[in-house]
Amino acid sequence: MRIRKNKHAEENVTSLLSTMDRQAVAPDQEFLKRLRERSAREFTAGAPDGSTNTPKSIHIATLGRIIMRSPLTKLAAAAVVVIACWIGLSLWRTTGSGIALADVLAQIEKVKSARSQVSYKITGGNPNKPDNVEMRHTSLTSREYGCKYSIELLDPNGEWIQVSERYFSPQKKTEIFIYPTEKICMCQELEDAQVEKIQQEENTARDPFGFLKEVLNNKYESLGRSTIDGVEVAGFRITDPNWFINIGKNQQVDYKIWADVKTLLPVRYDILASAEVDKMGDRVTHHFVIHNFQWDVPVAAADFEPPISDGYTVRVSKLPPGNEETAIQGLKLLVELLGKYPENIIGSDPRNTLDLTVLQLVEKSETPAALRLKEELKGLTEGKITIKRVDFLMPIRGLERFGRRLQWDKKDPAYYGKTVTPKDADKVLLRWKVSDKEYRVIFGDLHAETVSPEKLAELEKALPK
Amino acid sequence: MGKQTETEIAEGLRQGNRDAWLTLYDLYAEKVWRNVARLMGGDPASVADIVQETFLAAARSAGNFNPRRGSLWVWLWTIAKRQVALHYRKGRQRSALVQAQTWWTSRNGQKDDWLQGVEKPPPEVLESRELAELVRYTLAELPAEYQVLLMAKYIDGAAVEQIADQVKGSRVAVRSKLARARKAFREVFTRLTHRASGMQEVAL
Repeated sequence: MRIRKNKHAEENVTSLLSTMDRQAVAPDQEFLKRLRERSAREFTAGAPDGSTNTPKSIHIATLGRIIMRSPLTKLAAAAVVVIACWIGLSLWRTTGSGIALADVLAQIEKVKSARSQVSYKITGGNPNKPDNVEMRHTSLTSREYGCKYSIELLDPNGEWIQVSERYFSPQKKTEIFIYPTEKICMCQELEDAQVEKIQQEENTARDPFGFLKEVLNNKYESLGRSTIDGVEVAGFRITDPNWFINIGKNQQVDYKIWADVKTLLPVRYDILASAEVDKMGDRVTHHFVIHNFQWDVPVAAADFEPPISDGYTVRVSKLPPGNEETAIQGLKLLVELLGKYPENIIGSDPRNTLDLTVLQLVEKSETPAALRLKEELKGLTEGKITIKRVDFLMPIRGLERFGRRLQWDKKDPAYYGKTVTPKDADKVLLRWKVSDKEYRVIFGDLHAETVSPEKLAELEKALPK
Repeated sequence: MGKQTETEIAEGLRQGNRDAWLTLYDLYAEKVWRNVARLMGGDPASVADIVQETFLAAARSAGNFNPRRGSLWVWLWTIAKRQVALHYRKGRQRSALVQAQTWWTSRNGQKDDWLQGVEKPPPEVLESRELAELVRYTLAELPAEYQVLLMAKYIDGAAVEQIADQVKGSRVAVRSKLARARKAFREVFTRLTHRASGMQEVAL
């Protein structure tokens, strides 16, 4: 019977696919002839000696696709996010002393609020799908209220289109994203550890203080004096490739900071970074300019309230309860998406959450669920991708939360996703201590049992090394 | 098409050579039309629209085509597939799918044998508009590469060697990908029909 089934398998595929041919309309030769000429004109217009390769008009949804098309541009968008708070969040930190640049640091420490603008351009990359993205954002930061910024994209017609706004409030422990075009508001309630981590991340690695402190150590050169917009400035340069968010291999960075010689406050940052993005050696270039600083601008609490009007879809995402049930749901979803269990169920830090890691793994997965998810994400705007991620991957966040809770509560947890598969009904996948006499165990096939410590020892002894 | 010709076209495209573009167009225009038409069903206006958008988009980016990344055909079809997907998202009536799913459910009990792979599907089923609709939706959900392989092998009847030439891959790789494509097809088809009936595995 099995042989017959297999024999018919391919024939049935042929039969099914052939059904599409019966209704298919035959080529319209007249139309194809006209299109031949028209497409040739379009081709020559975009040729090296022609006008441009850029489409004449791109809808906002297409822009969203461009931004989120590749991991690189996702990273770039993330970099914008980081840079956005980069200036402002640095206000929450104090630092040391030194010579000229140290004086700049000392001045920034006194500032209570700041407004700035970032212009950001990505070019190059894969020649078949070159990146050509231009973004800008304005940010407002206050030591007291937090930070907000808005991101805009330049469309090929030269118009700036607002894509999203972000509001981060350490006091309220919220991170809110607004997508005005789609009228979507995503509110993420943060846990203390997440708030702390966001601040810590900005403050240690990417803020101007951290940067300037390194420069002061030994890695900068003076560019002398110059004039920017009529202001006399002193320049400094760093070329250490590690001084930028990692965008690829063989990264090169040219990083300049210009400060007003009178006020000793920054006037402009100019960051040019390039790196290989694939095995072919294709390079992508990121160019940041941070400018239009306004220091100690008056701010009020209302400036940091998201403007949500009627008609907005508001999603408040709160982590699901971290319990056995949500953990099993999360594990089940992971298997559907990846075809196996991940090696870890706890992200490396609160911002690099398991669901984000899973999204990266899904890129390489070919399970039906992964293919479906990828297909569903294609063409979605940034706001809808965020909603989809939050909604769809919520069980995975529940799993991660459960894992963290077991750690915090010192429940002696252990996870064996590296070696245990969904078929292993008798192998321990995840276990934790319930009492001195009992352990709870989730097995490879996701059934759960309570066992004695002796039984657990026996089960774990049988695990593959 | 020989590798030499493909390389020459690619080089011509890079240099902005109009003849290179016309050679590409002449080679693939009808093929793109036929495959788009398969996915779209009997709607000539939509097919023409998608074919036009495909070639205009291809014309704009052809100068950047990199032959090291794959064949011209897979590149071109990836663009076409994107246009088809956009069309599905924008306008294609879900009611057609629902109707097809309802039809599938109504046939419950009469399709077991061939669904189990024991018998061939009956002619009246194969001739039904609804089945074609289900197959179209299924194929439209698959990645472009799988679409290329399945249509070449099972509709155009191309040999593995020919397909390998088209996609610039080895025969072993093509066979392996075909198996994965069939599996993906079966799973998506099952999902679509499950949505309708909540039951019935499809053995293909």
